Amino acid sequence: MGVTMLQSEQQGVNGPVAALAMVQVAITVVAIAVAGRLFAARTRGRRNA
Amino acid sequence: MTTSVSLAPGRATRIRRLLPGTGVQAAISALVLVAVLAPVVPLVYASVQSAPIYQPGRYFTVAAYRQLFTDPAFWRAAGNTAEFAAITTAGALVLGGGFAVVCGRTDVPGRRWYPGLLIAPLVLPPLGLILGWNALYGPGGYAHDFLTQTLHLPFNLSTVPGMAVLGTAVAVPVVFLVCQSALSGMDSSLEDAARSVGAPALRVLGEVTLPMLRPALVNAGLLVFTLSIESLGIPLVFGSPQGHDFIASYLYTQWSSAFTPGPPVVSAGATVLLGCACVLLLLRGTLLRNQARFVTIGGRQGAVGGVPGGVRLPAAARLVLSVLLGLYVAVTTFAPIAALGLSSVTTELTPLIAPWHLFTAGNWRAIGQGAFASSIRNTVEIALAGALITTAVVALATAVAHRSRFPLRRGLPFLLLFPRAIPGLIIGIGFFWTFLLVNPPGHALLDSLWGVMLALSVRSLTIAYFVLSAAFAAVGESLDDAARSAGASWWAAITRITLPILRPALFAAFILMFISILHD
Repeated sequence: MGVTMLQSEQQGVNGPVAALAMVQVAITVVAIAVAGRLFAARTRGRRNA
Repeated sequence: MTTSVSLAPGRATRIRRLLPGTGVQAAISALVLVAVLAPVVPLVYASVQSAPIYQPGRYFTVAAYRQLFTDPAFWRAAGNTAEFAAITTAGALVLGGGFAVVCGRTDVPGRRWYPGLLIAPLVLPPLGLILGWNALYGPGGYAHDFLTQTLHLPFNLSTVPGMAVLGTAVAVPVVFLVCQSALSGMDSSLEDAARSVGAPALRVLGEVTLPMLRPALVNAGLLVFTLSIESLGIPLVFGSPQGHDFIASYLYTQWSSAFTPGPPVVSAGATVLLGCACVLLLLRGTLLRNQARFVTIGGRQGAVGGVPGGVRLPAAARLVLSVLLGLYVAVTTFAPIAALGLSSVTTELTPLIAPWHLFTAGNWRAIGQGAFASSIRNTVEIALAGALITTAVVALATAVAHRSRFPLRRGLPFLLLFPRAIPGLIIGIGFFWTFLLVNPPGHALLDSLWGVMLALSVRSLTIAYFVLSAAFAAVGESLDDAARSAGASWWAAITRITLPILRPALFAAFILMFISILHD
């Protein structure tokens, strides 16, 4: 995605490049949210351990 | 019938247990050695050849270095890079250190929320942030006229100082994290003593807290300077179109516009950049060893409740600082991401026409097909597979380095930290030469996603090592020893006892590697 964004930006294709960047942001946020939920579940599950 | 219990295993058993464990440890160490040095050795070799490696009839020469050092464009790029790195480092130290002190040592409102927001630029894709800044503050950006004509700020993102402002915004989280970590381990009784003799809050912060932060600031400063000299995205988007090249963008342009692909001068420039990064990181390593002497001498821990170990500011100062922090986070991170989002749903983002008149779904439709769609698919596949495989390999390598008797284990931590010193561009060029030289399987890797996955995984494996080495240190060796005393081999002890305990750390390493490869 990074290479595609850089090459498209140099060709002046701005709109789709911005959409691609937002996809990258969205995947990152989802990955962090999933990690956060899994860790929170693990902490709660071991409360009485 | 008597049964004799043999306390020491027989010779055959000792050999049987020794060989498989040592063989696996040697294989893992060799894999790490090859993966880390693969981009470096061919790169240095290519820099002392008269022609690209794929051409016959070449010979040893330093002509590439001579060509590099007599090229005025290289020296202009080097000057721009040094100026950018110096301004970025100074700005990041002032802001990052200041924010760490304000959030960690004062009673500013929101001090529990701001740290998470301040490190957001580390988590967001760097290219996304750069494009967001371009959409908002760039020469044709939405807020550019507001900044230059309404606020009369002489701000131009295409100049070196302008790019350094963006570089500072990206580097502040690094300094903030290092200083925050140092402050949280610092005994606050020295500050309490200063306040108890009547020193005002600013004086305590300036004459007690900041000097104690000096080692952390030097550490963070060197790290930010090293990261800044290898910056590629910022000069490619802002600087190169205006002729302000940095070393990385100079090499990138030379590589992509050369008549014969892969000229030796690019390998020479890459080797010089790699050498500078290694020297800076060695210097940082030396200074970090010396900072162990810089220890605060204190008695009990700081006060519990209220502002533990902190200074109470006047109400007006608290409000102003809190508002400034909020403005900083909004202006440098959230506004550019919002502008990026707005760019993605408009035909053009311009202050001359209200955005809602230009809404379109065409951009999102465009990325759902063709090269854009396949790039998303490829990136996610590479990130998932690369993170999985690299986490497994680094976990085993960390086990060999810190939990085995392998004779060469002490070199493994250095090897696992070394990729951090290699700029991303150099890893790309280095692996290109490796795939050309080592065939098979070089050419197959060059033509497939596996080659890209290998290069990106090596670039990011230091992150996994940071997480896993800290996790291994937290698990006592007594568990391994108990398993070994019951007859388990090294492999069984690690894979059936230690690694299952470290599942949260393995998952954290996997997620961080996934995000890092995704962003590359």
